[in-house]
Amino acid sequence: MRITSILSIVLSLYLLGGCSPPKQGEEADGPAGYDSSLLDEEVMEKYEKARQVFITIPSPIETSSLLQKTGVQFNAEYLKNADDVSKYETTGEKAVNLGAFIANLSYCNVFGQQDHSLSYFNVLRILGDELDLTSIFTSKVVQRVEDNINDQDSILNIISEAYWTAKSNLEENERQQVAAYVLAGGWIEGLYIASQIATNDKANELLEGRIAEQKYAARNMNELIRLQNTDGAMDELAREITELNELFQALEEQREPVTYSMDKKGIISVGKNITIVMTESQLQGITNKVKSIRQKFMS
Amino acid sequence: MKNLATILKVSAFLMIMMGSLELEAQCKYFTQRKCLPQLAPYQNNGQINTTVLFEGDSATLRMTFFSEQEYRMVVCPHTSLGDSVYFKIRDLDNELLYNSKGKTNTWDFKVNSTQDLNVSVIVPRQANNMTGLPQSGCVSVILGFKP
Repeated sequence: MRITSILSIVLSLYLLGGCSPPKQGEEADGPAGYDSSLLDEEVMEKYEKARQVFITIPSPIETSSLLQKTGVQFNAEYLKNADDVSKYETTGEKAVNLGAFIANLSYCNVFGQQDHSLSYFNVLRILGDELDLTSIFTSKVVQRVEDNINDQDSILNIISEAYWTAKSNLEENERQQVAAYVLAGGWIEGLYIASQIATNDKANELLEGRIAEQKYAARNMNELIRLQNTDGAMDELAREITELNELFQALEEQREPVTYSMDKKGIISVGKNITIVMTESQLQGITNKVKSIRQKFMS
Repeated sequence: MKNLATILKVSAFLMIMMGSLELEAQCKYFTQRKCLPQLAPYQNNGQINTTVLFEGDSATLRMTFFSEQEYRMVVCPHTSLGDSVYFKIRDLDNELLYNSKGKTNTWDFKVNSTQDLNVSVIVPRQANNMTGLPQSGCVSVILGFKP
């Protein structure tokens, strides 16, 4: 009863004054992680520069699609073995491999290899259960996959939905570190498949360009892991990602000013023209590093 | 007296946290029902960022955009935030590439070459807010591409 009364007082205070909007020219109190803006556009511009920026990592869904557009052939040799799912013990191992299996699933799907897809969905269900993500990889989802197995777009929708729901579920429940492991696993696995194809199959300039462009994702991934490694639990992965990022940041960039143009369909194209130069030995160095990270965390 | 003050602080904190968690859960439902359909015919790339913002807040996301990809950016605010929410896209040298102010919150575009861009979502204060309390609501930033 006493607690109820106290809560009522707190609620009244909160509603009456504690949460009133600040006067013009004062900062608004927003949730942690967000800077407030003011009515004045100029002041807000200043805030935009100083504000915290939330980093995102390209999803395996998009990177698989980019890989397919380079014209390479599907190669099952580079995929993870679904039977390995029982090997992972720690939360970190499970999360990083969940990301890797999502990347494998995306790769199979964009190349129309649906027979592999089902086994990967079952793996995701097992790892999802072990990571308390039971509401995402349910038997209903697996049933949806079975029902739509030959419909590439439907499967892509299901993968995309599962990926963002897992990520947001982990973030909402203060499990950002686990989410970071999932993102890292997905990114490394996609890079592993691309770099293995680039170095073992016939030369493909477009593919090599796509690998070089991961320079940006490498920088963001390095930053994300650094931010989430608050307790040192991610030290080993952080060290490896830092070394990989250094290899990427050594790639030379040639930049030209921002231009605007319109294509035949009327879609505008914006931004700087940037060319990233990667030598054969740099590609080999990146390939070797990615392979060793995969062996360490995802084999 | 000291104990009462502590209880009050903890209670206030818990209430705000509970409210925030509830809103986060509602955001997911809101995004699925109201926002994702706006992507069609583009395919979501798995990048959906949802959060709760208050009037007067802004938030920035750094995203990698790849050359040759056709993108649709959708910034989808809950109606409680009014109809003046807008977004700006800048490159990492802070050069403004797009401002949706006064336009729709959907933009189809490509990038000249692969690059990181900052997407800022701005929630202006509402002039007609008579409650004296800042409104809050979900904002989803969704990216779609043509597979």
